Amino acid sequence: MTSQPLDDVPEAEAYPAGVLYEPSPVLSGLESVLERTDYPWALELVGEDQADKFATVMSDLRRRHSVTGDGKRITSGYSYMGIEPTIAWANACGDRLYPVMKQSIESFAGRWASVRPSLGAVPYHYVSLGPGDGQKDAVVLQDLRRDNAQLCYVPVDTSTEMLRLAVRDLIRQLTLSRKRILSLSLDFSVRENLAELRRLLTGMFGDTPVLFSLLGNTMANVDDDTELLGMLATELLRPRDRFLLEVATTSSLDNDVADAAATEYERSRSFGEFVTSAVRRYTDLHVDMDSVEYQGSVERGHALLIKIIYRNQTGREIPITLPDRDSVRFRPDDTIRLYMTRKYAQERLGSMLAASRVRKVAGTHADFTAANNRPRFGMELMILAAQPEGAQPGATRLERTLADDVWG
Amino acid sequence: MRRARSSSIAVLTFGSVGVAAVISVVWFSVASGLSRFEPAVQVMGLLGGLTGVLAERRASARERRRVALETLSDELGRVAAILDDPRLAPAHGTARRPRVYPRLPVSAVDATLVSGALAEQSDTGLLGRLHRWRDEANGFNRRLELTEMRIFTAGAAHEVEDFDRALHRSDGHLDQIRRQLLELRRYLDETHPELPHPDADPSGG
Repeated sequence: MTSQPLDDVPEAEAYPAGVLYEPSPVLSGLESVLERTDYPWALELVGEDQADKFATVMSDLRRRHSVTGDGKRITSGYSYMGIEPTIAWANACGDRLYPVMKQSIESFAGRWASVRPSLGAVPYHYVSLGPGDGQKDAVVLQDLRRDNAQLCYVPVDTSTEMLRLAVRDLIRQLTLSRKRILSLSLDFSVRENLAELRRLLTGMFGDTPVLFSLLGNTMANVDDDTELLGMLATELLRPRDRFLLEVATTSSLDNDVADAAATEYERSRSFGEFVTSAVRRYTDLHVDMDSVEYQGSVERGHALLIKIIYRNQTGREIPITLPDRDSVRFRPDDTIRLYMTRKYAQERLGSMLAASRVRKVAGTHADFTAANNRPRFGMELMILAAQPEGAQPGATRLERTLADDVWG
Repeated sequence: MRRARSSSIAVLTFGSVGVAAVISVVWFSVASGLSRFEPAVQVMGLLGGLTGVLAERRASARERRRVALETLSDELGRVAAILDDPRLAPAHGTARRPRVYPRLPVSAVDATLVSGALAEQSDTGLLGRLHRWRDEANGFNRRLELTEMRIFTAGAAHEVEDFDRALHRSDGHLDQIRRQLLELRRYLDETHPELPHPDADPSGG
């Protein structure tokens, strides 16, 4: 599994002194088996304690009563766990009534081509954080393989089902050797996990630079989006590594545009099925699609925030049974936040990147709604690098807004 | 220079009255009979005139001072009410709109400082606090103007939340101005307990 990439690793780093390493029959046997068979085996390394994850989901569903979607919730990452949400997600990706996702996937190859030259002819390995259905990763891998014959692909996701979805077609499409693909079941929003991931990658790839990616506006699904990006940059990025980030954008921030953004998601029945699939999986709640609300608002002057919540509109208390057989009272008007996403103001992306201690190496923007009488939403694809140490004061300066200068 | 000239005029005036009084006393001692009435009347006239002018001046200064302090107290009460105005409160929810902020009034402070109504030795502490308060309030009002100009005229409505956050941040300008007002109010109440106390709580809390 790791024999080829380890050729690049300095021996002292890969094999600390005093430890006797014997070739493992499991790993060396696996390598030869994977080389010869057509059976769709896929290597997967599990770093998650599934019991912990399960406890977190239960805990999130026991949160306080809230009429605004700020109490009970399905946290990002858990929306995709299990085969039902994964299938629902795959269906939503192909839905013509969910144009954001469809246009994002269809236009990706062109947008990638415009930022690709900034990477040069450096041989990268590719680590995809939240690979989705793998269609965008296929475009990146096909391109990177030209400059790195030893290219390895490491998709990382909390959901093992999503990982399987991502790599299944890739192996066939790209004729990528299975021994060069290692799926990691890991929650990359946890700092300790990122430190472990970095150690694992260094052990496997040594000094060879890595291209990380966070595509499909995944960053927008977490509560502390800027903090997540900063954490990924701090824990993962070395000076020669690069980060491919894709975020949804808006040309203006006001409540009417926020409502239009929410409506965009509301149109797709398959997206509705996806966002409710986690509740169906983790609770015995009878889901009424008319009780799903799509709410748009402006968040801290930097993004449109779209919250998709399930509200108890029955007027009576509903007991919900969780998988651990515990019961939760779902009171009238109480809500469960099913999904959260954002569209970032284009002019605020610079300060957001600076706050996350990364710098933009290259970027391209695509508008997806061109009609004059509609709000202009789009996607920004950027290649980022870690902010050099010496540039930290400058980055801190950029974090300040004009408002801070006036009221500082 | 002006103070030296004022002192010279006072010395000349009181010196002349003093010399006239001395001459009148000498005249009274050397005169006899009915002619002693004239220096006596002059001395009494001089004393009556001097005390009358001084008493009227003193009463007038006291009245100016009372009016100045009451106006000042009233203005500080209005400032406290403005700091509690909903337009200066943090915007709740996400539907934040551009707004015109209320300004802190400083006209009574300005008038008090230029009128000279607070000219007693004991007023030094209050005068110093009023000068500092005036500078703070003017700076605060100026920042509100810059905020409105940016949001309304530079088409930066999306920055409303930034400005709202900056204005209401912990230990920011708004907190400082509340603290200064509270301190000024307390000082005024301690040194002038006779002033009517406004109902508004300057702490804003």
